[in-house]
Amino acid sequence: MRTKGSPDGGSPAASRAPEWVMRMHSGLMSQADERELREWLAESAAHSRDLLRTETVWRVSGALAGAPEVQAELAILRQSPQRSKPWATALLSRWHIATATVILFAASAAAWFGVAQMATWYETLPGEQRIIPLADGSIVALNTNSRVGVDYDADQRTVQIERGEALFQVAEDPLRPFIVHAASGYVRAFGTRFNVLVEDQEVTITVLDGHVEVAARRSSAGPGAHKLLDAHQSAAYALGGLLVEADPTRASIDRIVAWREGRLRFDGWPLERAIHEHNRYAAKPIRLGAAEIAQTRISGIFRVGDTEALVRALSSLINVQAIDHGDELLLVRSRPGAVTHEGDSQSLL
Amino acid sequence: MEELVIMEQASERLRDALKELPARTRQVFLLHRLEGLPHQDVARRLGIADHTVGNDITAALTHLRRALFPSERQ
Repeated sequence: MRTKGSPDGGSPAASRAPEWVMRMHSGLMSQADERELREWLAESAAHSRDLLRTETVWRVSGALAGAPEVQAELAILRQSPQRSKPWATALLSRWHIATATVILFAASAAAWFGVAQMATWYETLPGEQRIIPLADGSIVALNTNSRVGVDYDADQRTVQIERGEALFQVAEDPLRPFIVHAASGYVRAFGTRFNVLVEDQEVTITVLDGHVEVAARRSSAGPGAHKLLDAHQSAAYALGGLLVEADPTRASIDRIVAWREGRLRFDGWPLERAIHEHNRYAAKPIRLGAAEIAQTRISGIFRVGDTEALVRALSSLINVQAIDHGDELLLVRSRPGAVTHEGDSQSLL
Repeated sequence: MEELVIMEQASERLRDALKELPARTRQVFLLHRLEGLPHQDVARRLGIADHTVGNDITAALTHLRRALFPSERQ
């Protein structure tokens, strides 16, 4: 499929990028097409740039909807009789995975252009995890029930975590800082691997490799603060710009490594923390109906979402049973006062 | 930063470039890009072949792109 020629009568387009962008948005790309696109992109860096620019044209052309002459023309087109399908069904554009990287770049150009949408947003549902390769070679692993926005431009790589948790592997680029904004502060990375968890209005940062700068913004509740973290260090800040001591279960590197493998890992965690962690991934949450064992320490490794295995392990070790209430599982003691006491440490696996 | 300067006047240039398109090419592009109609529906609506829709969209993108990035005119 070749473009026949440019509409202004000039020479035929030398670039295949417009055709690719057309196909990417047609919803008609086959797997073979995607392979072909990848091969074409791999042929030369110029092709990527080419595709990126054309994708930018696609994006910014959406702003044409605001032009009066365009609205007038569309109004006339809408009146023409043959309306075969409900238009709404087509309104969601069908992006293809192969184009995701390209779109990220285009987003920044769209920002210059003043199109309202600055960032590309990514989201996971409870129990879902997702890897997002970014245009510069950085990688974001998105954990359960999370939402991040990514916005790259020539000077800066910006990520916003709206909720949930993400592990960042940042490609080094001294000219373009990589900054993750979360709640009332941000993390600036220097070619590194780090995890950011936003939970209960507290942001916990754990560094796996390299180092980062954590900054909690000044607010009415506090003067703001900065801290440099090296590998295997962690920190947290709360709303109000205060650096606080990180909760060891949230900051745990073992927990982070485990979630990347789709597992829950508890090492001597209070039972209530373990249940809370399980519930982040679960379709049906567990509620602890026995406050006296909330602080009982447990250890174990489970597949995320495997509620049954967790409940089975708990019931065999600490005398609890789960009652199915439809929208939640209530965990109660089977024989009150038996065997287990608060503070006991239980190993489940 | 060269590209930033280019982008500042992009809106006007894009509107002008759209006006320069042949009527059918423009209609195809608007119906697909702004109304979200699939190729097939655009084709039926305008009484043209499906592949013509693809060609028109490609042509429109090529032209609009020249307007946005004039420095790379070949």
